[in-house]
Amino acid sequence: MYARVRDGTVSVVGSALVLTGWYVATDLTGAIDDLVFPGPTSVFENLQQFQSIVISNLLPTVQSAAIGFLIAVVASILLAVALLYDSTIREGLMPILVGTNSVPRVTLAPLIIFYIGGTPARYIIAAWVAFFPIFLSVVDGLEQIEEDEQNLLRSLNTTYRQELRYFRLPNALPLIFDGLKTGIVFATVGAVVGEFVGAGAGDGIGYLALAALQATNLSLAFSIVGVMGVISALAFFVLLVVQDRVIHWQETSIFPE
Amino acid sequence: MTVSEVSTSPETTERDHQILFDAVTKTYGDGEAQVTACKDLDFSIGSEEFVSVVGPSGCGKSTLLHMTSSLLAPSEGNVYINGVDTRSPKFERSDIGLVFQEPVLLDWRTVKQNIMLPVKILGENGNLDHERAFYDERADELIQKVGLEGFADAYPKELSGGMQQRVAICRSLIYNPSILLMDEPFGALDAFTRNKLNTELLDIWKETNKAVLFVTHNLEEAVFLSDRVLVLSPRPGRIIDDITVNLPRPRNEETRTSDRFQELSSEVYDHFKDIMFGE
Repeated sequence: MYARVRDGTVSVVGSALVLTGWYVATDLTGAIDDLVFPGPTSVFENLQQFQSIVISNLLPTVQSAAIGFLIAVVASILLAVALLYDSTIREGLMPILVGTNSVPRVTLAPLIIFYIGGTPARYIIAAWVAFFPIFLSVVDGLEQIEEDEQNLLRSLNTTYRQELRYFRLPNALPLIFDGLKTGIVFATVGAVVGEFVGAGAGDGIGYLALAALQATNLSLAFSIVGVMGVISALAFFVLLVVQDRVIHWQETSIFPE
Repeated sequence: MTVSEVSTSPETTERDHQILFDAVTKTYGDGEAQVTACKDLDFSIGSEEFVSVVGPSGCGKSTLLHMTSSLLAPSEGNVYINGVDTRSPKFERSDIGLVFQEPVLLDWRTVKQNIMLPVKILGENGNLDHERAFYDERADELIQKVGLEGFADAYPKELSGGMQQRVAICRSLIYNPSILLMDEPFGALDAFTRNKLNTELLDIWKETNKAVLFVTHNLEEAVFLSDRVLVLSPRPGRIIDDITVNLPRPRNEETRTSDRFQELSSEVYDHFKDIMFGE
């Protein structure tokens, strides 16, 4: 408990120091020109000024990220369950999957726009970027089984479906949630990248960031980065709360009992 | 064949042998790398008999146990459970209850849900002949019998090692198998808890009428619990002695201090002296 409180204090002090340094270097002393690197005051003022436009562009991005994330989750679980069921499927597909994973994911975005296009392309790009961290952790989680756990299930003539339902899925949940937490952040990245490369209509936070840079409004671009950071962190935190509820038999590091 | 039919099995010729090993050998691997885990095992375990298997590490104790549970098939010879070959399609795994060294409980299920797991699985596959309510009541009885009243809704993480192993024993008994196989079930517990569970196990055994095959590396434990102690040689494991333990029952803490207990223990121990220090 003491260690946890101390960790928290260090984090808060660390963040405060960085923010203060930023403020001192820009707004307070003017050592760095506002046009090159805006200070916190002007970033905040810009955010207030463009509040409504930021919010209206936030929605499509959050939507793309959420839909992409859900597609990635469903695809990961279905594929992992199939791979685990049949070693032929597994040996046939695993090299391709691992190979695909080593291609920088974003490079596929223009192709997705070419083949799918429109708003669905945004969902697919977000799903694509989020897929691997989720998929790999689902596979790892479902694979975990000790010899005697296997013996117990076999001694009861457990079917594959029962093994999944009564053992492998609940047993995999802690690892699956680790993957989901990475995946949700990646889905946000994917949604913004989709807008960068021009998938769908001219809206969304990524599109707004590009527009702000074209108008050389650095402060707005910075505030967009900040807003996206907050959104990502929020999604991560929501997942943490869900994890704490779902995996009620295990203590999470943030919510000590 | 279902649990209740087992007890009225028509194969009466085999009824005095609940477990029968007929010239059983088990080898692993091929060619140069071939290892014989146990060789020419011939023994039987009678109706409701408590038999322990002791032997040095790697003598094939666990192999023997898993051939009895049919999780492993013998390389040569046959294993019969209640007169049925373990490889025949007529063999029912629900004849057998398994307890491992670790409790192997599911963390996300409560004590009672863990005990009811076999009922769920066997029931869904149509391998049970009583209603769920019957087993529900039985689970409550078992929980009471092992002194876990008030813990039915607790999760495994909240229990001590000894309590967890009690839950595992209840789980193996819930579908009323006629044979209980135990693979060093108390090996991970401290001596005090182990002794306590030994006595509890004998109580349960007496009340539930089962044949028990108990693997252990603790010689005193084997003598304390059993009607017979089978001694296995180092690999490849063969039965080098079959000691009848003629200690009166019910056995209790006084049994452990009796002269006869000491004699039998040293009789078993002599084999290990030969194995460890003899030629």
